[in-house]
Amino acid sequence: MRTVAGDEGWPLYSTGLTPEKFNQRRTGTKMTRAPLLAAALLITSLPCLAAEKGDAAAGKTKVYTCAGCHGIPGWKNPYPNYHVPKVGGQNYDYLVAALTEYKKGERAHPTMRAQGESLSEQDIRDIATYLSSLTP
Amino acid sequence: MKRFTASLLITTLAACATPAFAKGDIEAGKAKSVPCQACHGADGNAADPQYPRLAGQYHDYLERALREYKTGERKNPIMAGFATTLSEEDIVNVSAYFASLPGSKLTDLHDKVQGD
Repeated sequence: MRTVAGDEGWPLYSTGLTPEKFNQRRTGTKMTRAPLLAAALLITSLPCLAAEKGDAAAGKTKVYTCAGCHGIPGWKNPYPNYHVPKVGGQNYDYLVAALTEYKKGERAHPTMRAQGESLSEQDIRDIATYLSSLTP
Repeated sequence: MKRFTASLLITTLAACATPAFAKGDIEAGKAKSVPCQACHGADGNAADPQYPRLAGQYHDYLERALREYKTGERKNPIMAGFATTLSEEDIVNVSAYFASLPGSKLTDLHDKVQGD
């Protein structure tokens, strides 16, 4: 990389830095703390970003359709015959993953695939936020 | 005859009132469930939100999920690894065990929808 020798070169004057510091920054021989700090913050905040929650109040409205099957105690899936799972109080990340899999067609249940396809990512976050907030 | 009819009625009502009667062997399921606890929690209420809570879930839904993981119909590398080691009897027993656990945090959506 081209460096600035002595006091030559116009960028030096515009930055107000000494030639030594200017070259350090240009060549990366001495990384400033700001980018390091930013990188560290980004890495530590990744788990928070992954678990970004939606709007529980909006979710409460959006689960209207879900209650048709998940809202009836003891309700059974007609075929194959098994109980429709309890989804209230389930963990947020799992609910997001399950609904996203249905949306993408990665889980097979026909009714849930149809539901998943009709949901936006925001809908999924809102619904999962509301469902995970429920208690028995 | 009246007595017989009454006892029949009581028996029928009692049978109907028993929720989702699990057929599996809960104790055998508990013994098989040790690996599950690492992710799903010792009490079946997974603390890590990426894993589902199993305590109090319907036993037949849990069976269904395990069979789907075993056949590969439901794709998850972690669960495929465990489910393929389970026999049909194990699946029924493990599902019965998690369904039977007390302290469930799961609920259906009865009375939990806007307007209810």
